[in-house]
Amino acid sequence: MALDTLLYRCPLCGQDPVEARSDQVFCPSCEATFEAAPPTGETRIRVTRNGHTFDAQAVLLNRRIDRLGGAAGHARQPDGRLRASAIVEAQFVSNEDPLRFRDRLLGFIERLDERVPGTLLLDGNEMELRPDPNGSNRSAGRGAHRWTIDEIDSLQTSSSSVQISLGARGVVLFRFPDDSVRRWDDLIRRAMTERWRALGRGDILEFQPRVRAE
Amino acid sequence: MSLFYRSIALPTRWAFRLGCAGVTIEGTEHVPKTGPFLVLPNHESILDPFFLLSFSPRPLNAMTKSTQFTHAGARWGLERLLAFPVRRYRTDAQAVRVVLRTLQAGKGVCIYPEGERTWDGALQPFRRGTLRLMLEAGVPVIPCGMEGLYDLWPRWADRPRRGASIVLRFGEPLHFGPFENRAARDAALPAAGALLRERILELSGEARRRRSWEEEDRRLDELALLDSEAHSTPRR
Repeated sequence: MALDTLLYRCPLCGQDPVEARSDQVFCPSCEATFEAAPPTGETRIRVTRNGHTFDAQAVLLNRRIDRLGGAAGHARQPDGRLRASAIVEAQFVSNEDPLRFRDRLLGFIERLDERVPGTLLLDGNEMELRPDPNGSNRSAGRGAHRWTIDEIDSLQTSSSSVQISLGARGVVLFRFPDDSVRRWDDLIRRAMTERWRALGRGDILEFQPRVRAE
Repeated sequence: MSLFYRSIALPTRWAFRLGCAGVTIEGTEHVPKTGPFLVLPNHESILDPFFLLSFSPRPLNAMTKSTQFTHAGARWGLERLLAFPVRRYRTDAQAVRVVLRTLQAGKGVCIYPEGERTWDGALQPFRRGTLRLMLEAGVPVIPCGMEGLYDLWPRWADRPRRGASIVLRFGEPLHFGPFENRAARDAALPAAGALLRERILELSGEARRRRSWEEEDRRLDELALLDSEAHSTPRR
């Protein structure tokens, strides 16, 4: 995981995708480079373009990407729907185990099934996990898992994975070995936000521990 | 406090002092010497819990996402570091019970009100459930700010960097309630959340950094427009 997880598209010109080069991000369109600035305590990213350099706060670059449409810029189809796919490793939560320490119940933790390599597709209001037919585990060759955006009742992101809850259908965790987890967090949030608005449910205020709208 | 907790805190302090250009701790006098309290810090790095744990004047029972406990080794360590799990994909009543029980026992609890680490260094919206819990608990609330940890190890990086100066600031305690009923508590939620946010923005240094946002954004506009006609049209 590197800076291209955060800057998955160019904050200056909107180019998507960008190129990750060691500790740098390079934009093949406007030829800007981005890298962590020397630490000053001010969360800065060094931006260099055409011989000019500026150390900007990371939040400003992130907000520019958001203003450019975030992950939707690349995924938006002419008919308006979002469409994207990525190689993933999926894990389903099969159960929850109690966690005790010195006879005291500390809480519950999810038990994760084995990883299922496959492809995740987002297409409008639908998502689909297609397990890799050549995968080496039990899920290989099994049918696809499909659900609608409406079914997602919470969304959480860690540094390496996106986790969605599908109510009674359980919890699924996705890792993105070849793509930015930040991009997919943004994509799914946008798809959910647009769907909730279209259904007249209002603007989503929180995505976890459950989706809550105005 | 367990022997393991104490044995981790001291070397962790030294590790921070060796790996950072400077370590500053302020406001420890605001942490109550006895009785329950709730610490609510910003969350900008995976190192935040270790920094807070090792320099807090009193032990902290930290609410930690449940997936951190899935590996046996991590679980063993986290239990002894007074961490307890919270499931993020549902309203976790058991985690709330553990918080209230720990506070009733006169101990300190730490919850990150943003619910996850920041991607870009800026403070994120607070979880409504955490704010509700803060008002329900009826104990001193210590707003807390950490600064420089994002430079040390941001969420998007796979390894830490050396050379950052880091700061931990405990703010003056906030007192909320008591509230007559749930409706009164919910009515107080927006103002309490805004006050907490204001304090954490100051303590984490973000309020200071925000003052240059407009000017820096203008500089980025200039960089974006620089000789733009010489380059191809971006693909979006």
